[in-house]
Amino acid sequence: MSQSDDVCMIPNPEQRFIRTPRAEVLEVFHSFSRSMCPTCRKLVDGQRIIRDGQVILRKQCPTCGKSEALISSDAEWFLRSLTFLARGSVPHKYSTEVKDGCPTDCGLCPSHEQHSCLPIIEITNHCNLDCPICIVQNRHNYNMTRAEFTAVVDGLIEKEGTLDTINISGGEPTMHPEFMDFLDIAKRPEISRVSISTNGLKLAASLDFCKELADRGVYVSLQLDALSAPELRVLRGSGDHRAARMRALENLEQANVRTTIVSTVARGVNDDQIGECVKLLYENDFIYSLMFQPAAYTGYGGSHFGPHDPMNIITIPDIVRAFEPQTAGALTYSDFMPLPCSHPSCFALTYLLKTKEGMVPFPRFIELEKYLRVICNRGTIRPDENLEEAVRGAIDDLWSGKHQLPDPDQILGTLKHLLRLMYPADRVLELEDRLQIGEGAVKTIFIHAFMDEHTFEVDRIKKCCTHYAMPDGRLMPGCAYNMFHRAKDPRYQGDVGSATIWQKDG
Amino acid sequence: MVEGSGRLSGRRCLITGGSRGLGRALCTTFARHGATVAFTWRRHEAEAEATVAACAELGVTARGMCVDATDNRAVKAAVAELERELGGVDVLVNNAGISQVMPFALMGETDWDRVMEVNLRGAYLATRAVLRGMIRRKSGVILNVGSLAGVRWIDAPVHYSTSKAGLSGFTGSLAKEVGRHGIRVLCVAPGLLEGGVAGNLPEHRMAAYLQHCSLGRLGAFEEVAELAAFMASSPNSFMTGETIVVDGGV
Repeated sequence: MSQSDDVCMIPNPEQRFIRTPRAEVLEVFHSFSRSMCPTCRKLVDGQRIIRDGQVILRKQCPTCGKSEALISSDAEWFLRSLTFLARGSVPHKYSTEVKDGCPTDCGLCPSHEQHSCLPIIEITNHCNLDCPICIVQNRHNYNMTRAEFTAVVDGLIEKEGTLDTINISGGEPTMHPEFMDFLDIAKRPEISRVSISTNGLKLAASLDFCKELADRGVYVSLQLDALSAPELRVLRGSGDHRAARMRALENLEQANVRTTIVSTVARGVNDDQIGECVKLLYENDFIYSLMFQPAAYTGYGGSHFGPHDPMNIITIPDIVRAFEPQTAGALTYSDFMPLPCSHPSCFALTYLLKTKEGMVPFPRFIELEKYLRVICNRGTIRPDENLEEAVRGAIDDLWSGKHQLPDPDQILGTLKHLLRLMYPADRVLELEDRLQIGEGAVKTIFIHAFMDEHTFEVDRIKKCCTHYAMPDGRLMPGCAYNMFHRAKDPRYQGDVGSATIWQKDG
Repeated sequence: MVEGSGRLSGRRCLITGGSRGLGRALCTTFARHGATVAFTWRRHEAEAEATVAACAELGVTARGMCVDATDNRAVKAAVAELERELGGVDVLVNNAGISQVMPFALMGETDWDRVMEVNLRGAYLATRAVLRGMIRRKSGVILNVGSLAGVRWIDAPVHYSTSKAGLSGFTGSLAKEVGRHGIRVLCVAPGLLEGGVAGNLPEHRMAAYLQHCSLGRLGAFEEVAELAAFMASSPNSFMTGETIVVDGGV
């Protein structure tokens, strides 16, 4: 990955946007958009409209007519987020040329503005669930070959040089007959972390399987949308999902696997369970992060999960606003920020420092400008000059009393303890050992909004950093692939295979 | 490997903190140049044994002594033992030292005291212990191991830099005071060394350092030890009170 010198354009948090006095009741045109007709799926022009404090994407298809979709429930968040701009970093090598424009040229082409922070390798389209909310339609007819997988890994290293994380996904990746072998192939010095995205059924069934993951240092992203069964049934289909996921969590904890909880949040289904997921994060050392994904209604989610009203969906600010009431104030609206290196409508996040007294969100003690530099252009925090400057600045500010925090000593004490662990007096630790110590002291909450046919916008795709890595060397921006390219992927052509769905009649 | 010159032949040398890193290189280099080597160690017994073994490969029986550099009684006892068995100490290398990655805002009183205790008070105690014998014999060399951080204003922990700068002052003043007895006092101040505290530097800090280093690389323990051996030897008989920087030209 090649870094630009001037990484961040720093937003002015005090900036106020001029709106008409009656903006709350009138429509305000904000900007033009290149988007997609949800009916005929062709690219069409659209407009972003501010109405009732929300941001609406209005499209006019010459064939199908007008359609509207909510893209942000909070115009203030949306407008402010657009000031979070950072120059991306580009890959070492592109795989396609600029020819027909975005998103047709995907793969990445030279007009793409971000490298792969998180490449996803789909090693199978077999799955043992048929989740109503799934954003793909698994055809149960493909397992990646060992040669393909090796080519994908080689291609990623060629394009990125080094990678913080690669994600192995599916379908359900644990169903791949060579799953563990693939994990071994992915263990390369250029790749710091390998994560898998899983529904957890295999993990629930076998503690030994979890131990094998732990032995390989694999990170697990476990799909867990809610902690109660009825909501899980709505999102994931029949069967006692709660019991299975809880068993998976027990096994992951026992095997000491570093775990991320991934929660797809659907309006009116599980949007009251956000605080429960945060509680899970706070109370379990083996859970390192949470990923909330506002439901996107594409794939099965577009056809099976309904009726779907594109004007009544969860957007990033809905989740951000839910934290304060659902966590009794432990997290607040101002603790979260858009991720400046992706499109700011795609990601929001916060980092949390684990102190003896509890979690402290980074934005409460690190200056905004420095914080943004730390979280720019990467999937994980690394000990670079931006982090050093941010932490040094925070230490001085806390010590001098600049930050009006109730107990700065707990943060200072934690940072000092961490320094002692990372830099022991009697030996020098390897960088990776120091990173792991730091990782154990920091937790993360991400919000990642995928697009669907209603909310798709070309400008968001141009800054996408979540890419599907293909055997032919292309890196496909996630939402563009799901909506424009997946159906044509030659790997998945052919007859739909048979699938055994877990507790289908349960 | 540099061949021994014999320039330290017959010299009885005590090196503090000799179990590993630069300390071990000092022991082996001094041994290669013909010195009789004794060294102190504190916590790393296996590594102290490795130093003894490395000297043995050079045909020198080095004596490792478990001594806390900050314990006056233990230091005095160790030196007394050497004087009894070897007849005295001709060269003392004050090498024992510690560092700590700690910004000033987090540097508590105990952190400060500990670094000063080992790096400065330890040198003072060992020097006091050997100096009376040197004065009696009207010869001797005290060689302090300082640091570039004590000479130039570089980004290093404040207590560490202070202690190393203190060693430079200690060197100059003591040289003035004991020169009349034919005793030389010197300080060698290395820059970043491969395998030393450089391992704690983030990549960007290392890159910045190398950019400003004329030779564009880190030093090796042996390169510093060779200079130290020369500084402690008779051919260097007219140099005292000096701090010599060996840093590849930063």
